Amino acid sequence: MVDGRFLHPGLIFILGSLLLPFLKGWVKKVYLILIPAFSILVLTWTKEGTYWHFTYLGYEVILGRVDKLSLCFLWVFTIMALLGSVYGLHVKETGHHIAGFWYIGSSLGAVLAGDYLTLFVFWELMAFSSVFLVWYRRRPQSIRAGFRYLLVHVFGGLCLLFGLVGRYWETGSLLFLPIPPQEATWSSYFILVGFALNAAVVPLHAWLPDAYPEATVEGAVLMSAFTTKTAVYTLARGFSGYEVLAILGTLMTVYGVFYAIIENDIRRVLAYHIVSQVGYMVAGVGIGTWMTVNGACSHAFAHIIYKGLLFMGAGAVLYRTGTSKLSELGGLWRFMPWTMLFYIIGAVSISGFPLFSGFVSKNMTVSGAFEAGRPILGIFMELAAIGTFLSVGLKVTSFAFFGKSSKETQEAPWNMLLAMALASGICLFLGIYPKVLYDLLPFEVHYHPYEAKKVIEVLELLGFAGLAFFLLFEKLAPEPKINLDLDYSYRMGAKYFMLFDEKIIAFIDRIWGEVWNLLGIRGLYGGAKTSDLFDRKGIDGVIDGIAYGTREIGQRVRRLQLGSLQGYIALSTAIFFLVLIILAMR
Amino acid sequence: MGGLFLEFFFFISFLIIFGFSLRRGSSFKLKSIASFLSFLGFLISLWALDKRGSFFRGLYVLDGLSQTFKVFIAFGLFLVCWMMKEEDELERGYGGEFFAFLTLSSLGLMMVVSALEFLTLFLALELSSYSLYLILPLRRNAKEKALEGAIKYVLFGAISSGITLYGIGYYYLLTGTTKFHFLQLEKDLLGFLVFVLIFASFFFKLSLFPFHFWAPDVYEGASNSASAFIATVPKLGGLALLLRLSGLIGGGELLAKALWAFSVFSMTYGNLAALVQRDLKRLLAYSGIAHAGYFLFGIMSFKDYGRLSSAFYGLVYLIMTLGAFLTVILLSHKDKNPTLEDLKGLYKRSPLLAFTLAVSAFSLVGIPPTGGFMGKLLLFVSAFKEGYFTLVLIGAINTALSLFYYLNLVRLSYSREPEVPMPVRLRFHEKLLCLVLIGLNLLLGVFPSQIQKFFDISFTT
Amino acid sequence: MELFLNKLPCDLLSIVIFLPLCGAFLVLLTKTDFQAKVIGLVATLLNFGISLLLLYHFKPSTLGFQFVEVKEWFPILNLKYAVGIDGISLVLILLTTLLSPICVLCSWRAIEERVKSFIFCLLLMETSMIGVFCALDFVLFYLFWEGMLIPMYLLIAIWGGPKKDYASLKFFIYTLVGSVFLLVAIIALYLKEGTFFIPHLLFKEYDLRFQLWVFLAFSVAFAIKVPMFPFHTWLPAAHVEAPTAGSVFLASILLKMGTYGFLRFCFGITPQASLKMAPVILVLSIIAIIYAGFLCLAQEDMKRLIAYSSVAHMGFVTFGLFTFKLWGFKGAMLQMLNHGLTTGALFLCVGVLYERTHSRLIVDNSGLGQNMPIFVGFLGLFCFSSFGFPGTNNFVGELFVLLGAFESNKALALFLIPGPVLGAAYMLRLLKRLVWKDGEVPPLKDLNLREVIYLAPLVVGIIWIGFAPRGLISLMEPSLKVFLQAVSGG
Repeated sequence: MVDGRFLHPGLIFILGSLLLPFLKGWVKKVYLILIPAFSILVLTWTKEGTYWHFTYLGYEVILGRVDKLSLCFLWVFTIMALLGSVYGLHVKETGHHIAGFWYIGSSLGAVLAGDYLTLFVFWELMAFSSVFLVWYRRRPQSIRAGFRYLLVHVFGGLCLLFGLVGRYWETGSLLFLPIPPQEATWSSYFILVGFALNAAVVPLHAWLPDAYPEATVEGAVLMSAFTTKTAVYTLARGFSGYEVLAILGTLMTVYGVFYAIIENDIRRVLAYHIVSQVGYMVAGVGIGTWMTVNGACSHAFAHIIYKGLLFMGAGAVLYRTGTSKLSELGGLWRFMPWTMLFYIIGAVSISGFPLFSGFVSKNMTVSGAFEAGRPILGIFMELAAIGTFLSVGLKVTSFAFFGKSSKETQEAPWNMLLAMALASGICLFLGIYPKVLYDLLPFEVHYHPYEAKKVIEVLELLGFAGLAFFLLFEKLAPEPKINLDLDYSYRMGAKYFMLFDEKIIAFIDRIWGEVWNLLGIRGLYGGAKTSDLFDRKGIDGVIDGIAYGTREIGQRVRRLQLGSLQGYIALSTAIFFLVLIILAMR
Repeated sequence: MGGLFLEFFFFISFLIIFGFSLRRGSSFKLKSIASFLSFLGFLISLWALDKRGSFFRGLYVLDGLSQTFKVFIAFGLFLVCWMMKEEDELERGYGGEFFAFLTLSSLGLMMVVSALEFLTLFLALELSSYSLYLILPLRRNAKEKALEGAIKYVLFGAISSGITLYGIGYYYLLTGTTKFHFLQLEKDLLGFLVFVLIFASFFFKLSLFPFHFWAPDVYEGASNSASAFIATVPKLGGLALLLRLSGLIGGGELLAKALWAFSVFSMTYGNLAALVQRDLKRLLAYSGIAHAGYFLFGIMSFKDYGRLSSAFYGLVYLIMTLGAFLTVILLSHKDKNPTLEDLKGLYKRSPLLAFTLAVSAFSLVGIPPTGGFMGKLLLFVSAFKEGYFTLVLIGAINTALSLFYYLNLVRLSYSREPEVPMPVRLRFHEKLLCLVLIGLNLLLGVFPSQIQKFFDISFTT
Repeated sequence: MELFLNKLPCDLLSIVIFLPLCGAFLVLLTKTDFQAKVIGLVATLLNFGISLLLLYHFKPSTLGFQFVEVKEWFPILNLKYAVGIDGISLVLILLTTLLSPICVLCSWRAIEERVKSFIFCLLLMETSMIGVFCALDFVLFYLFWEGMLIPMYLLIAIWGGPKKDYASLKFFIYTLVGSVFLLVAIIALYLKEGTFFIPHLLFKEYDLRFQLWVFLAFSVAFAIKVPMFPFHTWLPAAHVEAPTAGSVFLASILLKMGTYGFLRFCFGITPQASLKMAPVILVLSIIAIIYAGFLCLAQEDMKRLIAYSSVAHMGFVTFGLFTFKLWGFKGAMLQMLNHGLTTGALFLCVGVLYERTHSRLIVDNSGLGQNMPIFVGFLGLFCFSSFGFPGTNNFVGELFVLLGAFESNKALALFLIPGPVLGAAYMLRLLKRLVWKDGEVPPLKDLNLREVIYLAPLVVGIIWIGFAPRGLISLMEPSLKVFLQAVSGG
């Protein structure tokens, strides 16, 4: 039952949001900060253990399962919530804030859920509250995108529901416990699909780059943090050591990067990078050694912060300039130097520079992969890292903030800057004192990021990335104007690489997107239209047809009524005696 | 002889009205006089309900069956007189003849009901028929239609009576007497023929297939209330006779088969043909044909409960058909026959009348809580009990079929806009009549046990 | 099944059945429309109160029928006036009495012409609907079952929309054709047992062939009422044309009569046949769920959409019933109630819009978010509950049905998944298109107090069932177990 030793941080947000409509002006702003701050405070004295047992419909329901794994995610979520609401202080619509709080609260609830039913409820709530963050952008295409997003998540949720019901009949309990791969049954795979869809595991990822770029500036910041990471948490909780995850995860890392490189819209670049970065975590979970799981968690932690930071930067640019298309941007360093600075911090963190958070977390996974005897996976991850630096670090920075100058604009609002500053601070802090991060991890850590060999290795990689960037500069340019004269062969190599990337990968993704649309949306409506036609013409036609048919028969029968007396008499006597004779015969 | 007072009274009232009819001119009062007399007749019939006895050396009997049906007949006559719109329907000055012969025909039917001997029966039948022959052409500026209908009725009646006579001859041959008495005709082909032949003229009265052809034309031709009368009261007479005779027969298998065939044909033919009628009276004629088929359900069983259910349905039929005809009479302006188009928006023009029509229509289909449902239930049960499963099934399907056109009446009067928005003014006695018909109909549907008690006493022959 | 005669000082059940009828006759005597409305409201509210008394005196633990009243009715056919209820009928009666005042309220302004006859019809409807759930004599049951058609027909035919003519005719003929076979089956049973008294007909060992015939006849009638694919086409027609109150009654209660019939008569009287035919019904239900979902996606008319959605929901109910598992039964019963509340509520919402814009097309009603926030709040809740959002009633019901499905047949259960997805798809599409709109939004005024008052109880019900269905289930469970026993022998 409810006991005082535990206060559900999710409920703090959800219930706290109910007051929002009644607040105005600065009181509201303060309140918006207070709620997440309070929840962080609550976390500080939350002890491990399971709290809030209930029985609902005869099931055991656990609202608060606190252990190292969940705590790790709780921390980063609440911190991110704080940053997010600081960043979103300027937003006018109360509805937006409420949606955001419900979204945060429900993801916290999902993390704390000790049983599948609770998990499912918060899972759905998450999807439905987050969609408003898309819809509040109010552009027709964002309404549509949000709609698609919702459909996908409902489908994922139902896979989860189906799986959990199946699990109930198999195990007789709905407790959310790890499922070892060897004990996996078909129902657990349904659950896995449900989770994987939220984690945007290729090929279930298409919703993410579809929806996030359409979200509001502040909404994107939140969404980049919670949905996928909650999924990572559930995967880590339930499905560590699944080979399929390991492979798909690695695939994600590369895939996301490849696609990010050729994107033009900053937020799309970042969206694809979520796919890539989540790939590390999924792979880590999939490999399933202590170290990799640790890696996954720490990477989730770090990633939430710096991806949030990046989205904040991109958001600030969008907020000020009204566009996030690289081809229309440039030379912003003159107008938004702070934004640029913070963005670069985020960029280097995601690229895993030493002294930045990405370094201490990502490489943990990577070298975990090597140690677990999965070199191929490891190598692919390394490659992805290069691409990351290439696209996020160099490409975006150079084309958005340097290069030809675009139209006049001004620095981002103070609250955005503040949020970004805090985030950058955390990135640096974690990069310099990884221990703080490592202490939060579920398993104890025997990993020291700052060994000379690791550092050098990373620097080499990044250096190569830098080189590659200058080789590819021309090709990477959204509008190829700048000509560098470079050696022919290099240029050829570069050309082929870009060829491969643009044509093949882009092609694949476009195909997949098409299939997605065709089967997903248009297929749905096509089926709807045809069945509607069938219903009106087919079934209803038969029914009414019967009615009209009987009328027809009536017409025929009436012909018997000749109207002439002789006819009548003849007919009736004839029929009468006919009947008698027939009966007499038999 | 006290029991015969009813018949005397009817004869007397015939004379009275006839006397009035000799004085030309002020014939409009006649309606009220006739209605009054027929009402008295009705009361007397109720009084005579428990009279028993047999007269003229057992040729003429008063038993439950006869007395009950006399009540029905008297009631039917009373209702017809009540709902008649004389000034619209008749030529000035023919009212006297009309009512007089209406009464006479009812008298004939009453004698039919209690006849226990074939010649008596035959005479009684002809009495009722001939008076009807006279009534039929009496219609305001009668057109060929009326005359044609009359002629058809006459000749048709003649034919059927001929067949009946033929059958009676055989009966005499078979039994050496013309009195009714119990016959066992298992596998007896001749006996079977005899009865079917004799039945011919009852079929004619019932307008049962294949003796139905006259009905639509006659209804169409005759004046509204005349056809209302023909549609109900003579049918009751024919029904009563069938009941009585079927009581005398120990259920011949062949006979049952014949009845089965006729009933099936009658139902199906009537309903199918009715689907496409525009003229309201023709439609009702076909519905009458279909219902004649339902009547046979009970007779086929040759058992008391079967007869009981048929009798019950007879009463229900009287009520609901008259309800429908009431609408016909009140709707027809001057001497026109109302068509379906005239029904449009009846609900707006006169809610009460529309409701009467609706109740009668639903009852004709057999939808609870109307009497038609109880009647059908009784009939189906009794037929089912005797193992006529297919018959019941066909009956059910026919019910569904009939729904099409009965509901069409309700639909037109409720969900269409009127073409002539001017309301139908109902006079007090017409409103009263509507309420009486609705009330009786629902009473039969919801509290049938009252009526049924009243049968129990009357079926102990 | 044993009977517990009514020990109360008054015939409570008969009062609940016939009080609306008395109200109806009072309405006929009124002078003004307003009086008629007031009398209608008072009668229905009073009846609701009395039905709560019923709930109060009801003993959930006892199997069998309670409050039983038996009187002679028509001895020659051995007809009895016999009424009585068990848990199953009790909840449905409560649903009916709850919705009736709401229906009166929602037509307060919507109906201008012939208000008296309208209220009259509504009250007749209520009587016959309650009667159906109470009747313990088959003829009495049939009397109410068919008698309901007449007021319903009039509701559509007089106060209906432009195509009321076609719709009402179709509704009537369709349902009656089904019921005629029901009548034949009833007679067959009567001749077998010599009585129409339902408790004496239940749980007998009839030979299989007889059972199959009876089941066939029954299920035609019930399947049309439910309506099950492919007998559903009368529903959208009728719904679209019917006035709001009519739609609410039609969706919330008439449809339940079909499933009620399946549960009480098919399972009680022809268990083996039901078991034999179960696969057919299951497949039909699945087709209904998916097919209707697709249909909904294609609809432009709100009422048509909701009508089709109820086909899908009722598919869940029939599926749950024919799993022959306790979970399935509970789920089906809950779904019956949920559908009653949610779909009724949705029709009320459409009615509210129709009063303002006089159009049922989605396009004419889009862009409400701006001016009608309260309404959108209600509508959103109802839509969410309609596709089974966790925490709302339908979620619980569908979960139970799913559990039952799993217990009986996993492969079939798999096919249930698309249902809710489609549900979410069309409901959200509806919601999205109603709330958002680019371009100027229609200047409509938000809900007034009356409308809030009649929507609020439904909200309460939806949330309540969503979070604490325990109480309700404990009402129905014993009776459900009895019928489960009859079918699956365990």
